[in-house]
Amino acid sequence: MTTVFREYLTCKELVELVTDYLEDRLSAEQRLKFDQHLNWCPPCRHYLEQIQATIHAAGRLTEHNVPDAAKETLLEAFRHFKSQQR
Amino acid sequence: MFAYRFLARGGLGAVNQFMWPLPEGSTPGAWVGPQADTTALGVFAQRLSDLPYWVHDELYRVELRGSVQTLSLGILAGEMRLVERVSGWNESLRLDFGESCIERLRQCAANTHDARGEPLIARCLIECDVRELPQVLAANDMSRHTMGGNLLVQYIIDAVNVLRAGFTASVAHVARVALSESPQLAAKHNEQLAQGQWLQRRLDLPSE
Repeated sequence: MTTVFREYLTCKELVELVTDYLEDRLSAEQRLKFDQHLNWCPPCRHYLEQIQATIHAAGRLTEHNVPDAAKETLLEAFRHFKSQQR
Repeated sequence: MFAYRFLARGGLGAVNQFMWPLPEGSTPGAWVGPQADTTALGVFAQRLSDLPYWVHDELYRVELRGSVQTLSLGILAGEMRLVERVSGWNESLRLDFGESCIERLRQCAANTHDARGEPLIARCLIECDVRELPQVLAANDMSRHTMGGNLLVQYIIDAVNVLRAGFTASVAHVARVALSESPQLAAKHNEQLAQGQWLQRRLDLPSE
């Protein structure tokens, strides 16, 4: 995890911390700096909204939502990927 | 303990849109715990000196209770309630605040250019309307003269453009960063302090 000593986070640092932010694993100091960054940086607010929307949408999907043909294509791709790693 | 908190229009949390219970007349809003800031850590508030970092649509005086922890940019408490809205903070003053940040920025930029023997740029920076600054600098080809040298002019152009877009907090941030990047400037001018003093004076807020 990135340790931040400056008074403000950069956009790059915010992106690195976003998972910890959403899982409420930041320290109080980091959390405050994260929120402070969002206060002045509209593009990072938009980025966070996109991540939250993606998590919300993906959270509703289960294995049963994947059509059989697509499932087989994905499994084949994973097998191919694993065989390439050996 | 009393402190402050900036919120979005209508008493909404600036980041998560949490709807804060608003004060009614002299009756404070209801106490709210960590759910307001969607973190188990607690709820955040601001000291007078923190206000420049959190500028937003509405400003409230708040009361805190429970365990209170002081952090670099604010305060963490167990619970908080809105006591009263600071009525002096409105759209007009917000714009004035943004322009005051740009004024200090361009004064520092003008002084820097003057010291470098570039009085024409310095005079242009001081005399033109701040809202017209990007066009004036472009028309006089002054952005080119400052490239690789004093980046303050570039910061001023950024600040004017984000103020036009209505992002006052971004203007304040640009000014703080611009004036802290040069050690010589930072030694002479503390922009965070200047922003805090401006807010205290114009809102008539008591010292801590």
